[in-house]
Amino acid sequence: MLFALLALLCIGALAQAETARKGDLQVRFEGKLAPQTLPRSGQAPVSVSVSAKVSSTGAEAPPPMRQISIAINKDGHLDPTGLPVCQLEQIQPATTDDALGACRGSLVGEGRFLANVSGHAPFPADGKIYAFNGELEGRPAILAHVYGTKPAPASYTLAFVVSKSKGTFGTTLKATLPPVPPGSGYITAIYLTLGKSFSVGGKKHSYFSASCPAPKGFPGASFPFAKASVGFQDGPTISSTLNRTCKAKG
Amino acid sequence: MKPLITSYPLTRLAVALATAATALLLAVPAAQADFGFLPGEAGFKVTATADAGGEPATLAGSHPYSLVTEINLNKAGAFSDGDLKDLSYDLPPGLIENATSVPRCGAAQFATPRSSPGSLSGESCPALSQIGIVTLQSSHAGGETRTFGVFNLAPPPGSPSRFGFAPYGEPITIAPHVREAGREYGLTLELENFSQALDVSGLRLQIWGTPWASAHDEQRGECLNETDPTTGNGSCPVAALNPPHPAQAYLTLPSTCEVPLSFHIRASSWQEPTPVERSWTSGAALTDCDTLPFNPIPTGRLSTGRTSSPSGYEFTLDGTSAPLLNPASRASSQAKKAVVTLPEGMTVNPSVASGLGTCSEAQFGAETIDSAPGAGCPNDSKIGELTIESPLIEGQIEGSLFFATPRANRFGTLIALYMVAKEPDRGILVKVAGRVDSDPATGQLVTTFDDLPQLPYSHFNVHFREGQRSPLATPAVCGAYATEVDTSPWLDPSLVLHQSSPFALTSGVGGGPCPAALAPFAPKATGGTANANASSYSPFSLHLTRADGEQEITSYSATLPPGLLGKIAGVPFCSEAAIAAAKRQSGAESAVAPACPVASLIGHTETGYGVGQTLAYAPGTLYLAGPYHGSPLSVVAIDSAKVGPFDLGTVVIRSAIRVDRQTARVAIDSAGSDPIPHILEGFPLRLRDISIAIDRPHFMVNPTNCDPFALTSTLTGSGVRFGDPADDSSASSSTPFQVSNCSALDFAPRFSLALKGSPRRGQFPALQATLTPREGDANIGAATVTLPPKLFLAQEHLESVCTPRQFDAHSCPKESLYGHATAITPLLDEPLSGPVYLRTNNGERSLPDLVAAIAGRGIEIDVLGKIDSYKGGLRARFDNLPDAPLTKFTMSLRGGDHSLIVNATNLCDNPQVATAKFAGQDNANKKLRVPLQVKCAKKKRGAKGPKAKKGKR
Repeated sequence: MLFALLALLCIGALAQAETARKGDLQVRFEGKLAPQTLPRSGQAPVSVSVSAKVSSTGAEAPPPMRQISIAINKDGHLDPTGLPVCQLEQIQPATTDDALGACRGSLVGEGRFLANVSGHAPFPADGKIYAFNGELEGRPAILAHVYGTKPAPASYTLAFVVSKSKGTFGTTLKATLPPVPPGSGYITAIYLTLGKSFSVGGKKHSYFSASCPAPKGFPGASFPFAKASVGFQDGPTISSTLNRTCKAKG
Repeated sequence: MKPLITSYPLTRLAVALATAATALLLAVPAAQADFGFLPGEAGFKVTATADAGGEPATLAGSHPYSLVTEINLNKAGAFSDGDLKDLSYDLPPGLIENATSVPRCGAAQFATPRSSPGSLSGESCPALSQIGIVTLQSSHAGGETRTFGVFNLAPPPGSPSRFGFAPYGEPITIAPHVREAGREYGLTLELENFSQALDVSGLRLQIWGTPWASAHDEQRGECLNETDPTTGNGSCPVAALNPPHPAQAYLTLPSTCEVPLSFHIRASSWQEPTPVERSWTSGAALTDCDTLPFNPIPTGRLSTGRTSSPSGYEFTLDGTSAPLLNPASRASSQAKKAVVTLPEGMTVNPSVASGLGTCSEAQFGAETIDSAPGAGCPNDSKIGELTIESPLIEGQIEGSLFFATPRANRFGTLIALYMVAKEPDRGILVKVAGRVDSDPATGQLVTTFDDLPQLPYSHFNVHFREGQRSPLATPAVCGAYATEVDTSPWLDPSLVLHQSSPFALTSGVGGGPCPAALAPFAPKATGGTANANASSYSPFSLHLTRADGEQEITSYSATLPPGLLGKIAGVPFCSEAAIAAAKRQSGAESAVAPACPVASLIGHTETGYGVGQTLAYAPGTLYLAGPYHGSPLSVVAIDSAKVGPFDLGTVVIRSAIRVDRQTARVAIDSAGSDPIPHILEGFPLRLRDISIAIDRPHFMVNPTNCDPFALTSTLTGSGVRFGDPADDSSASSSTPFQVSNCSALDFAPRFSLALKGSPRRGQFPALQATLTPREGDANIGAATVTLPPKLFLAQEHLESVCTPRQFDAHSCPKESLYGHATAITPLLDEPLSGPVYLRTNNGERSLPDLVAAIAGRGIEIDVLGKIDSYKGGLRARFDNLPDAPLTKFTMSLRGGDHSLIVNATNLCDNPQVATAKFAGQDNANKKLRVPLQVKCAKKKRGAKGPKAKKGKR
């Protein structure tokens, strides 16, 4: 048992970051589920952190991203019920303060945005992400608003369209980025943590909730937490499945 | 009618005279005739005899036995029809009489009648002074012919010699003088005031070729029996001559075989002053010219052994006099033509032009034997001296070398020389014109003197003056040189004797070491404005100099200090047609009626040419002209190229004027400019000193930046070979430049920002920035405009950006056009205006640059704005703006799909304020809070701003 626990911890520690590469292009994916101790049955509020860092082992800069997709394990549930829906035009263009002023009630997460801007990329070089529950073209979405002043004051909103499906990964967040002229810049990293607890009609709700899929008799489980993919402009799509562990209670 | 005196051998004199006397007695007078010569050769005949037998002398350059001239006049009865008074007798050119070969008969001796029995001669001259005999037919002796001695006498003033005889006690003298007409030099014998009492009707003058020859002993004074010639000359006692030196020739035939000898005579009587004329031409030309010696010895020598220095020059042609004097030899042929070629590099010294006058063809013609100095060729046209020594003349003949009027001389050449030598006491006047040809490419000089006088000389020297204004300049390199001389003799002008006369240059300028093969090149360039006050109008001067011995300046480029600009507003360009016309003008025409309009005049030049301490200066003018070789402007220097008397036309040098697109610094671009000529019409300019003054009032304006700057110049040297850029040298020079009193300048520009379009958040407005500096303020050096943080960069519109290469090629894609800018400056008539692009900067900055490419009158200026953010606001920084006065500057950025900014707030609900900071060229600063001007609709009552839409899913 002790060995099994040590092995689980080791696997968990080793599984915090996965690097996938194609050619000189590599993406380091990270993901985290908190808390790690979850009910064996039923749902508990969780926060989900996912990040992707793009780099190149070659001389050439990585190409710009065109798509980001995060598929969450079916044991995790995203439920925006009761949250105000923020419209894109309310926060774009806007400073962070203005975006929060307009859609603070829709806030479901935060993060950070880093980009290498060398020309006229449509995003700032650095900025804090505020994720709002919103919609895009009538579909539920997470609007990740970024505001930065480098190299020039600008705001940018990544709209992750939320979709449900069957299979290992039940919820998919997918954002499509506009094309960027070659050499103008590329996103180097996106850090995003989603999760919010709120009350609706006096009843507690959680934006994200999850259970630990550990069989009875096992203290925990290792499971495919998420599958992240990054599609590049005129280039490959790099994906990685993030396996994480959880401790079961109950 | 038969001639009364005919040619006959003197050894048969008695028989001949008897026959003549008989003929005279039997002659029947013709019908009454006027004073004149008998017809044909009976009236006038000349024979050069080779021996006592009367054989004709045919060898050119030989000393004849005698020259016999027979003259017979019309007779009326037994006497001549009219009394001979004057005779003028032209000997052919080249026929030489050497009066120095025998001693002279003194005046007293010539006036003392001979005491010998039977003598009718009025002289008692010594036998050594006798040069011939004369046989007269006159009323004396009853019409019988009588023979008298002819003697060498002391010459009168104005004649090289004189000889005479005294028949029947009547002294008759003959004074030769040198005849110079139509480039023909010869002796003319003048017999004046024949005694009317002689009543001469016939005359036979026999001049001996070698008076001391023993063959003439029987005809010397004491042997002539004028009383009774039938007694025979041979019966007289012949006294020993006891000559002091070997016999010398008195007569020498010409050394030319081209044409027969030609004689001409004029005679007038006491009754009829109008002369009658007659010519005689020998049957054939002289012969054997090809065996005549011709050996002149030329010498050419500089007055200095230094390179690149002014130099005099001495040219000597030495001849030998021995054959001329030796009766057994034939005289050397005289040089008819001399072609003197100076070595390459030895050129005309332009300095000679300073103060140099000219001698016109008419003035040259006015040079006479007795004309006073300056009465013919002006004294200021004299550039040298001339001396001639001849065995025929005691002492030297001295003369002057004059500079002929360029082009208006008989050769039509730029350079020609007139030599005038005169010996008034001997009546000798030598006038020779020489043409000087200068190689158009090298300036090498070739001087040609043709038709030189057939005056035998032992020493012919031409001395070009030395000193600072000497006419020649030495080559730039030490070494051995030579004057090449080609002489052609009169005997056959087609023959050419080529000889060299070497000389050497052994030191450099000022006696220093010899320069290297590639001469040094360290020219100096200085310049500045006369008034140093910032922002003031002031004349600008530029002075370029080089030292002798340095390479010549072939091109010049300069970059003016920043802010030193020209106000071309109101100054029209000199047209292309006018510039073309200027090139066709002479220097004199250019000075009197310039082709370019005075309205285009912006300055003047003065250019110094030559070597040494004295230069010849030529004035010039500067005009503003239009685009040239890709530059928007040009300056045309029109130099009259009239240096002293040398009018080389006009030198038109057009310099391309570049205006730096970033700094507006004005530069003279040598790459697009005409080269500075170094030679015009074979006249090397040896340009040493160029003074440029841009002195049009209110044209050049000083900077408003009092920092120390420099006027930088780059001059190109000619290297070793002109015209070959491969070996050109380059030298740079920097002249400090700094204006003052910047602190006296104010600095208070006005600035506004206006947004056009919807003020709502998310809208893309147009932006217009307007800068209005005040007149007289310091010019703006930098501007920074920071928009409020609620105006974002509309990054989604930065889709197309111009590359630097596209920008430079004026081929930016239209999608990269984001606005328009206009600058109004008092320096130009029209505003500078143009598009505003976004331009990449090769990654130097994260965002592309905002560049206004404004242009007007061909001048292009780039106003570069660097975009970044400052304290959350979008900032545009315009650093290093040109130091130029502005009246107004506007930049309008497009709105809508091409807007560079997006409202991140409703500008009407939240009025925004930008900041603008301006730095003057004098470092003064001005910071302004600039409210954004926005057109806002009137707010409806109860209207609310957009809020988050709440919804549930």
